[in-house]
Amino acid sequence: MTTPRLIAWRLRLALAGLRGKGGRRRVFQILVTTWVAAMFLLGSSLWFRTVAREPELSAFAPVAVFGALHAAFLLSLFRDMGAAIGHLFLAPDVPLLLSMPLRARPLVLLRALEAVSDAFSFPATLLVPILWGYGIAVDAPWIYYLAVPAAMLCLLCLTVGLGFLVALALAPVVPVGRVRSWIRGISAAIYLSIWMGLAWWNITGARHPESPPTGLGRVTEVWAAHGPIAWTPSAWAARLLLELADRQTIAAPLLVLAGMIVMVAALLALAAARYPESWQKAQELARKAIERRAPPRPAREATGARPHPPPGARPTRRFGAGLALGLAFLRRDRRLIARDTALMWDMALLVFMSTVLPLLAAPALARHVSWIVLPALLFFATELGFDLASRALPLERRALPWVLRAPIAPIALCAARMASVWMLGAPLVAGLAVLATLAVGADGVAALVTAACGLGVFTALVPIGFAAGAFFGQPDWRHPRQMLNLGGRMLLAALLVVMSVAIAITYAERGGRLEDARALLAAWSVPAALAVLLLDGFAIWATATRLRRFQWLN
Amino acid sequence: MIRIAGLTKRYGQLTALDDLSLEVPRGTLFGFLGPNGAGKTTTIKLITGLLRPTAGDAFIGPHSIQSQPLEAKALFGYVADVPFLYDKLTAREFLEFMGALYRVPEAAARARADKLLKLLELDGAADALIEAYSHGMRQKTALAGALLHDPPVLILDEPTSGLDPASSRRIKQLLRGLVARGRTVFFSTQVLEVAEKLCDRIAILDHGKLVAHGTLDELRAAAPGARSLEEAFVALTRGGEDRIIEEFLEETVEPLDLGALDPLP
Repeated sequence: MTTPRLIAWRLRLALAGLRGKGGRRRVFQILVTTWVAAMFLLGSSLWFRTVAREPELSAFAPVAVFGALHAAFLLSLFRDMGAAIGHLFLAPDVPLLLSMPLRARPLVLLRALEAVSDAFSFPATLLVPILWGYGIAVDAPWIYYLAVPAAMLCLLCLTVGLGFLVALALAPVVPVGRVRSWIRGISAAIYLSIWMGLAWWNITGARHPESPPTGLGRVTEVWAAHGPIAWTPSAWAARLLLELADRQTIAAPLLVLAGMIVMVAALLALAAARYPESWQKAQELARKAIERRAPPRPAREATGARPHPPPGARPTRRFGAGLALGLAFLRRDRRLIARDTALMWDMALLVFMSTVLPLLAAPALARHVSWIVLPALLFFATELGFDLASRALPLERRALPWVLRAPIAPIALCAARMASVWMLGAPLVAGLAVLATLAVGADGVAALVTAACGLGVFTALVPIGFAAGAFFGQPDWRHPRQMLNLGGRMLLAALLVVMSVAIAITYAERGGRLEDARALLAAWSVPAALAVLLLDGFAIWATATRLRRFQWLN
Repeated sequence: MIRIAGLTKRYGQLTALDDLSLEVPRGTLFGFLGPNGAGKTTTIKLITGLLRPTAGDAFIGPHSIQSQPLEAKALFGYVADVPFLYDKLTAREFLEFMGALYRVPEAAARARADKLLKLLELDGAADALIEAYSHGMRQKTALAGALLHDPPVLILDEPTSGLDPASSRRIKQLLRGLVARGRTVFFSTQVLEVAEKLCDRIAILDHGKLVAHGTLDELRAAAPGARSLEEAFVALTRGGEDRIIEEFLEETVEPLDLGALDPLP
């Protein structure tokens, strides 16, 4: 098969994804993505226009362009390495394609094109509209608007190409699963460091431009201007776009970027020839890793002693008996989560990223220091409660029938799963609440109040998340992000919006006085607890009904 | 048509396949048997070039799968134990894709796909997405894909698993017919009756080693007292099986008093 025909077939396969089961959802996703991109375009053009009008701030517009491209490049670099491993070594159709008389280079090219098109969804939604917004604000020529997606594609070609090179080099040496979890760990660490940077930036007031940077800030500034950062592909892409917007010549950045791409493509062409051998070696390593983990096989010998007959299976129908099963589920969940680092990192990332919004708003809430911790903690508890609970059923994947086949009534099963989720997450929420409150210098009472608020929200979110998992869960997930469908994620987004509005209203009404808020909490604690109990009951009933119908597995 | 020469596969301490040598002549239906974990799928993956041997080589026709992989791959059609199919394609589109991969001229591929779909009773669902197919329909689609370019060699890993009796019979007849027309079929199975009725030659693998191979009569002769392939298979791979079952029943299963059974609370 010729390379263009292979690529044409891949395009056809990609379009085929819009048909049949889930096809309408994908169309809806495209519409939502378009809407989000339009909002970013509107927001960024307004922001850049405002910044450009202020003489003191106008220098920040190009800095923002540099920053956005650097962040995107850094994140794409690690994310695309993980994607490269997936496309080259874990995609389900690799054995089919490798058993056919196809040459290695066209196959790698095909996989690289798939990876670039997958990777482009992130910049297409966020970065391209932001950069177009800059163009609108500075009245850039028309060619600038074409150059933005082209520059993004150039950066992605580099990150994907580097990712493929790393994947082809590492896969024959290290099990691909391990490489992937390392990469996920590094990506999560980058996200978390950005999170911590944002927190530091906002809470310490370092964002005020009038004070010159010191320490790390100074080092970063020097590196960005003259050091290694100035030679990164993202810096050259930013230069290209800024010079184009400013109607200057773009020959130098264009040549440098083209040179980088040619170099990576040449290296990839050299490495690609050995792709089938790398795949074979990766299979061997994976098998060896499994063999190492497998316990030694017991010798087949009969013992003279007559063993005690095992206890018979006891049917469990009662709600209370189901709670006792919670510990069994907790033990199993802890093992499943700890052994699937991808799942753990993904959840850690989502949960911590949820606190970015309240931390960004921290300066506005900074009248009382506890108000910085509380909103972030409430978002953390919401995301953790929803995420843990909504994944409880999809975590079982196709093995759920095993659980349902056991003599456990669905209502007892639901109670047990919810109890296990609560036991898993509650210590995290309480611990973080106390640590964070004490870290900002508040007293012990404030720490307890914050912990109580966090635990209350977490407890309320567990039944909501659990029911969402039963209704929106996807048992055939491959990546942890796919455990919930779009409906489930939209529900969480709606909950976070409601929480933001509630926090904003409470803050506006109470004028930032935490004492008033404490009194309010005390007055509402009993009705709130009753409401949570009712919610628990409703979620258990709804989920049990769903499981009885078995529709979720269809 | 298929020659396996000293094929060995080791994973660290574990030897999955130990110095396997076999020849499958042209126009033979060759059954490859063995208990779970014996190394059947590993052998098939080595023959098809999906795994690299620790030692030895496999040849499809004159081509080594190691040194001339593209030439060797062009000579066989392969159905994996869990065949991958693109859920969002129809069976007809999948076959069209397979035709393109093997460079079958478009019109010929379309005509052959139609015939295969009809033969395997998929013509009614040929334009439905594969995601809606049953396990058996998927299995048949994968087989149709492997047959599309009319390969001289067919390598099939458990081709009849999950098929209804009528489909299974049809596929068995098809395989026999292909062999009668000079094609070579190498297939693994756990269903001994299928192997017994269908195969010209059989090989039995256990713990990665070839324990016996030959015609059915030769295998029976290798296991004294065996009247059927099943008895020969058990004798060659699992001595003392009956004693183990008796011991288990004696030690762990009490006779059941039916009168003592309570209804569920």
